[in-house]
Amino acid sequence: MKIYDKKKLVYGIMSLLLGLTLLTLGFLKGFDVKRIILCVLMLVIGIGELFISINKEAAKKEHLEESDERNRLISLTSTSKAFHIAKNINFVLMLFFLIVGAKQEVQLIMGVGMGFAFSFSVMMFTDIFSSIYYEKHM
Amino acid sequence: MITKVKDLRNKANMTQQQLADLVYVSSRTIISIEKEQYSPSLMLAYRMAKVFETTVEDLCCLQVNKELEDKQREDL
Repeated sequence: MKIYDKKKLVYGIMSLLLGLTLLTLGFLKGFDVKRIILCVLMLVIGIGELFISINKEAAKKEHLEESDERNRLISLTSTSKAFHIAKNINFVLMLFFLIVGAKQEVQLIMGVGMGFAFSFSVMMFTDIFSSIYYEKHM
Repeated sequence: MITKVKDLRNKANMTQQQLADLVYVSSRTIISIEKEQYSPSLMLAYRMAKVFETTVEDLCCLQVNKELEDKQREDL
């Protein structure tokens, strides 16, 4: 048996082990809906990933999907868009909590606002540094 | 981007999947190129041009696309 995708094999084994652990836990402690769904999901994902890792055609198709230039562009664009939307939401929430906190003079609300301010500044610096990096390397 | 991919593919009696397999992309990429929703990279355009035994300039209608782009710039 030849392995065509080692990464998929590792993911498959990990998912399968997690599924089997959940199954064992279920037998020991009893099953509930959440555990059954998670267990079935993990087992199905694990078997699927294992199948892809040992099947030449499936591994080839999967590799093609991953390396497809349109898929990569979609992934880059959607990630970038999501980051900018998250940054803007963060900014609005930061302003909202800081203004409301200052007006109401509630330190807890101000603290939440400061949390958003920290998160926003991290996003800003990440954006700036990655821009500088790609300005130099592209 | 306007291309001749659909015309040339039809002339060659080829399916989108067959072309996709030959140029190592997914069939969805070929569909998007044919619908003028996606502009192929230079290497993909070259691979497709090789399949259809033509040039990138001809396949991608570079002259027509350049004129369209110039017109859009002038309208700005």
